[in-house]
Amino acid sequence: MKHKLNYSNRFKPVLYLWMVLWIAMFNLSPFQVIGNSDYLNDQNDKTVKGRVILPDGSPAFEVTVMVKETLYSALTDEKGQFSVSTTVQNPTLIFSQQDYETREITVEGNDELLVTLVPVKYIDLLWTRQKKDFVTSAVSSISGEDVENLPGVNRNNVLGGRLAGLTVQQSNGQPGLENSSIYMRGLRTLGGADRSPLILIDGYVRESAEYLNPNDIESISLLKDAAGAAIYGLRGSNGALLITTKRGKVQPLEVSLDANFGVQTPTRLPKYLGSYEHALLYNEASRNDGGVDVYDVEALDAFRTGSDPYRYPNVDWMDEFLKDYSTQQNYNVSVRGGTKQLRYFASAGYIDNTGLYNVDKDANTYNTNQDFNVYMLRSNVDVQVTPKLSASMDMSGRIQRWNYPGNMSNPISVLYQLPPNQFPVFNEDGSVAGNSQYTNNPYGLLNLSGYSINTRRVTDATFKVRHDLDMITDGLLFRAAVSFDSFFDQVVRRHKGFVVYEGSRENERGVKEPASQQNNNDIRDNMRVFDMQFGFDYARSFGKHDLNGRFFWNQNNFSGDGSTMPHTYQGVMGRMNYIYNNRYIADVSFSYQGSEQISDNQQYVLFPAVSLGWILSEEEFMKEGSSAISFLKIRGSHGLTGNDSGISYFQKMSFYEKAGSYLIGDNLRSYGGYREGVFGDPDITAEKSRKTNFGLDSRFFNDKLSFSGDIFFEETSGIILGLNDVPGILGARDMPRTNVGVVENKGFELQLGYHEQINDFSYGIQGNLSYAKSKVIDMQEQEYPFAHNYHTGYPVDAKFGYQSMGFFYDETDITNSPVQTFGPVKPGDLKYKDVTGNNIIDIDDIAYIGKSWMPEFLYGATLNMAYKGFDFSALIEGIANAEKYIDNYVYWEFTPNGTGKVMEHHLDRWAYYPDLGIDTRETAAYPRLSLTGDETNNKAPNSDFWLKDASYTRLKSVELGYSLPKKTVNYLRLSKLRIFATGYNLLTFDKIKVIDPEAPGGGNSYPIQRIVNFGINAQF
Amino acid sequence: MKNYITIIILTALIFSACEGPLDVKPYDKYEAEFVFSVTKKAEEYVLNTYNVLPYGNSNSNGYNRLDGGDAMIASASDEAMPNMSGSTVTYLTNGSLSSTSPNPDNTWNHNYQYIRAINLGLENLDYMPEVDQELKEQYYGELIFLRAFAHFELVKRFGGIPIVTRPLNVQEDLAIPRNTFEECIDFIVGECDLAIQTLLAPEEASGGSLGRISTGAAMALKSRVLLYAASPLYNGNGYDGSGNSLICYGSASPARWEAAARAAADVINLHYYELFSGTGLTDGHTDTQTMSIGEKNYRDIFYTLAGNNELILVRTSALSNAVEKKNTPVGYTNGEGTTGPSQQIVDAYGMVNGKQIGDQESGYDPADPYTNRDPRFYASIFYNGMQWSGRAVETYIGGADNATGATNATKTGYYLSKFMKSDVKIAGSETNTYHCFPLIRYAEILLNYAEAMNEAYGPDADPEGFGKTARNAVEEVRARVLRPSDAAVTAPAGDKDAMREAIRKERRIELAFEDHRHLDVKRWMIGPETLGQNLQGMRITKNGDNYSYEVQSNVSDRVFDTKMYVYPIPQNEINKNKAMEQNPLW
Repeated sequence: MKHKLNYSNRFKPVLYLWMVLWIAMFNLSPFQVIGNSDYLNDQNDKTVKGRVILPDGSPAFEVTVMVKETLYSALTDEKGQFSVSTTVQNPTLIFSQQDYETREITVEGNDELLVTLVPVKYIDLLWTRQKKDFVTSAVSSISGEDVENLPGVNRNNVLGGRLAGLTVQQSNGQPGLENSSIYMRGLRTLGGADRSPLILIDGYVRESAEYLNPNDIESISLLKDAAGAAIYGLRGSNGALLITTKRGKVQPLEVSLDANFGVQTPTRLPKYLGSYEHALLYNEASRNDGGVDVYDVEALDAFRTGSDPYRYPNVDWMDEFLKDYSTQQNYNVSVRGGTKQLRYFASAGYIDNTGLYNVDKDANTYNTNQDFNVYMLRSNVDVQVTPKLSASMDMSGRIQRWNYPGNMSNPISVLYQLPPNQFPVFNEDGSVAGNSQYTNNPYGLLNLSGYSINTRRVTDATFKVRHDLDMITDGLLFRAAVSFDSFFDQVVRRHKGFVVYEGSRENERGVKEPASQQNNNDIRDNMRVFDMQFGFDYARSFGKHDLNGRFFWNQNNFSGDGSTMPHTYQGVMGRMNYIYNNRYIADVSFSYQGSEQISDNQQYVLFPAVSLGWILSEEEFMKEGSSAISFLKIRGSHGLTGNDSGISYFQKMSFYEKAGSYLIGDNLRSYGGYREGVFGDPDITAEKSRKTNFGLDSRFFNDKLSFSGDIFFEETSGIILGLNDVPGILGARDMPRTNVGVVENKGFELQLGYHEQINDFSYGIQGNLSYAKSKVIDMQEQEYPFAHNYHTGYPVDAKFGYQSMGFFYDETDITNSPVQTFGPVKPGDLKYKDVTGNNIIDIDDIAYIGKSWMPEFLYGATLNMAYKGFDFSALIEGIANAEKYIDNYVYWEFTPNGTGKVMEHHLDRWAYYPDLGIDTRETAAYPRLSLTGDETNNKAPNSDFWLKDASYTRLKSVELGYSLPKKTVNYLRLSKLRIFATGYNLLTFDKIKVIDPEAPGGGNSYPIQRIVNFGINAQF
Repeated sequence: MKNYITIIILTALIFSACEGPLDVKPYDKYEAEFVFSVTKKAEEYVLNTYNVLPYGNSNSNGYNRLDGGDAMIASASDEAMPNMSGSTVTYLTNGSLSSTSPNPDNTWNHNYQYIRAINLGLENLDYMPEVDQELKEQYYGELIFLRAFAHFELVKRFGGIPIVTRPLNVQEDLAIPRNTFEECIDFIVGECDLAIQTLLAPEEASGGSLGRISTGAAMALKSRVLLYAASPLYNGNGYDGSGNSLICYGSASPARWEAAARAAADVINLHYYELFSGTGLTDGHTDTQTMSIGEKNYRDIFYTLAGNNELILVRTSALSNAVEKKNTPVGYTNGEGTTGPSQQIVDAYGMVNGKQIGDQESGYDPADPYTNRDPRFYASIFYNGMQWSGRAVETYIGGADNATGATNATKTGYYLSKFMKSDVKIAGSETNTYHCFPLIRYAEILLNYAEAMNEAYGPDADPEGFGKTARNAVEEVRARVLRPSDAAVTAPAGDKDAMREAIRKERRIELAFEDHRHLDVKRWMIGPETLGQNLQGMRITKNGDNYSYEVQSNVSDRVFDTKMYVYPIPQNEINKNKAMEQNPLW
């Protein structure tokens, strides 16, 4: 094989050099020991003693205490005590440690000192962190504690409303698949490119970050502008959600135990009608289509009275096969602690989430419910190997297991579609009922079709080393990191067909497959990611000048056996941050990154960003002015980010592929074919977003009140789209795609917070409001005959379709109206507006009808209260200015094609049968019923009739906790014991009504859950 | 200090040593030189272009099935209607077709995609160093035949279309105008003539090479193209009377019928092709155990691959029972019953004595309509009472195959049984069979010949000495299924009009459901009386052991406008190509 790749050979010299380098480094570095009392001991006249504590009274270890005049220094011990000797009168002591704000105290007298240090508020940025007050890019951030006790497996789901600028949409409630889609500042791209931010765990993109153990999370930040994300190069445009896990601390061992248990119920289920109404409406739909009544008076009577449940059944399938509630539970144990030489955090967790199906427990020895569980392990260890060399070893692993009935079947869609009047669950003789049209009796699906298990095993490991290079220059560090992820996804199927009987066992119908069990397994994905970084850090202060920076080389190699194709990124990245006099901040970052998928003509792309900040409150004129302002900073950033996900595999090449076989000969020999592949574009490159952000951070009244605001403007160009203006005579199999689209995106974010402490009572309230609206500048539309056909100028995914104008009243109304071309039109059908005025309704009349599904406004408000041992918090979250189609399975009658069910809202349909005393012509809220298929049905085209306001406000989460008093806790030999109750999706206010406002508007997905949870947290 | 420099140099080395990973090639994609330089791959490239030939949308369904493999184009003519609700094929029949509506029979992209593939193949023929000259010439013939075929597939739907003979480029000006109808016909015929010089002989394209394009196929395509070109729709002033050169010649010429007759005669006089009779017998009326010889002879055409010299251009399908599943009446397990043949087509089948049902002497009994019919009726239509798979077909109201509310229950009283092998099982332990779908078969050539000869010289003349008159050719087709004495055509000697009617009727039933009818009635310009008539069905009610039959005058509304003689050019194509002109009246 000519093109066979051998990575191991390529890496050999690299690894070899790396080893040589390390050996060299060890030999080079003269072991120096930082100054301590043993070294710099001379004639001391005076000893200063004291104790350093944190605001909560606990001792602060390992704080460096330095005499400013002599540079003599010492460290605090486990109790926070220190003593320094000096000859200086009234010496000034500097207390410093990276986790706390540095303090300077001039000592007068001989009293023992008590010094309180305040923890520094850091914000995690990509591969670095920065003191919050000096951050110049747009970042929202929360602490892991804010969300760790909230129920639900998927951590992404609890972020909505908490981080300004982040949209979280949960579309599925299935255990273990409660995936939410997340977006940062709306939409900025078109076509097939990724629209979601990268999710990084400790700086790495990792598979399914949403299954992270909630108790492992230290903090979460959302990087929104170019200054935050340009350094991520080809993948930075949609921002990044950084999750930082907990690490060891210099402190005695702390063991934490968590257990919680919750019950979940669907937030909302469609309300289907029973057999009698079903049959009535079915008859009406049939007559509407020109047919005859299918159910006669006798049948209707039997459905109504329920006199013959076998021949005229009335089965509420949802009620029959969905339980009232299901359970979830979560257990976790973690240890955290360390010394200066070794710090560790390790945890083990288990989450179990059960399915809602009412499975017949006696039917099988195995489980057939849609259950999910996950086992999680993590250990983050930091070691100070020598005074100059430190290393970290982070490992995490997970085993996730989804259980399914049958061949991974989805019983919910059957429950949503199976009419109530077809057959009972069981026939009179006890056999499983069914008929030739509906062979999927849910009982059989759930209990008689075997089971499947999907197992996913994930291991992530990172090894990092840092070595001081102060022999070259002070503040310089060499660092290297190697990371390896492995992901294995496998499905084992043990399924079989089941037989249903119509009426009795004699009448066998719908044998789907032999009832012998099929056993097989397939490996769905087997992926590996290998990432290497080498580079230098530099951090040094020169008087009023603070400089720190990082420059490194990175290679990220993805390979897998699944459908995702191999991918390699390589490049150099860097950031340089300069602070003058704690007032003026300048930050420059860049990445120069390439990938094998980018055009050979320019395989590496530069993404630079710059940001500036000015802390006005440090200025003398401000200090003198008003004491109300405790902090005020203005900042701005500008830069370029990239998104390469729209590039298809080796799109830079034109090529041939094996496809299109053909049979030749009377023995039908099959010849494999070759054909031209997708048109290549030799200049293909990543789309680029130019982003500008201005912001302000402020705090007032001794930091009680805080306010931040951001406004942003983004322009994304080079979006990869199909060339819609290429005619079919070119003969391209797929539309040639290239960098052509342009989208603009603008908006703002506001965050306001207030907290107050009144004796034992403290409370805080934080609110945020975000706005983002995109506008398509160029999406390569073909030349339409009318201006109103163009999408350009509207937001990404704005709705286009027909404008409905009520229902046709009668035949005369139809005759006098423009001709509609979507199948036969009858009174009671939707009447569409003739936008073009040419008396015919066709695709030329398609015009803008509604907003994008992406909300323009997001808001969230958190309330926290604490009184003695009690604490309470609640989050209200919502969206506004979004619309979505509610149609198809969740809203249309008898879908698909005359099968399916009817719901409560169909009772308000248009109908006119004077002989039956039915006339809803004036009051109808729904078109006439029909059994015809969707494609030729007048109601099927996208129209504003099916478009609903998707705005909602939710009481997303509530938490009420009680910590037992210290005395009691200590008696139990614990350091903390807290019990709590939490709720998720408790209340919803929206306009959609039929389904959960976050659920997809047309499909039949597993219902989203409301969860009430109880838990306990103990530490010792 | 020296040491530090070493570190820096080493670091720099690491950075540069890792340049390699981005210089990789894809795993599963090949460059043109690689594909065309290997004989096997070159052959596979050429064979992929064979996929331009019409086929079911989902494999093994056969013929130009639409709607993801369920509706046949026959359902867009007076042959049938779709039994599925919501089939898009109704766009072609209910008057809602427009340049912007869906057109399920829009093969524009399909054909131009393969025209591009063929043009790339022709361009790359020179890359084939390993391929010997003879093979290269054969590939050349196959490629240009397929390109001509693809162009004709477009011409018969849209009229004149842009002729594309080289791979176009995205960057170039793609505002390419339509060629006139005449230019298209000349191009297609010219390419057939060229292809005939290098293609395999008919006998070489059989056995292990069955399905390969032969000189016979090229000659047969030429026959079909010239027959279309000579037909009233094109051979005159066009359907709108304007003489627009995109849709017609602009003036009528009888010489076009003569050319069509000669082209058909060329195929006949190869003396290679013959009407297939699986029993080896032609005395059609004799009953075998399960079906008459005539019926068996006719059924066997569609699944006999070896020794079937009726096949001129054919697509085969691998072992499958998809055709059987699609067409078996809905009362049988797994039967999908997708097509409902019309009363019109049922009435078009004559009697086993060769007479039409309207004929006083035919012996047709409206109270017992399915007895003693033409054997091809039994080989094509599921009717009430027919024995199939262990029971009688029940299409009476409320019968097993016409139950109230059942999905795809027939509305005409019939299901389609043509192309199905009777012993294939579609339920339980399923069994499969091979199928072959003749795109051109010898019977069509005989009927092409009869039609052209009759128009050019009358029913009983053979002035060019081709060896057959129009009447001889029709009777030859009939004799496969009827007794020789019953196969005679009753049109009076020299009566061209009566013979025309006879030929059209024969063509209608012999080639029923083989994608001919909707185009034949258009080229004959008899749209209003065929496509414009509502579809009729049979309402059968069971009274005790007896049935009563009542013809339903309208089971499916049909609309025909003059413009519907051709399809509209898709509006997208006009929007994207400034030089593209719409068809008249659309």
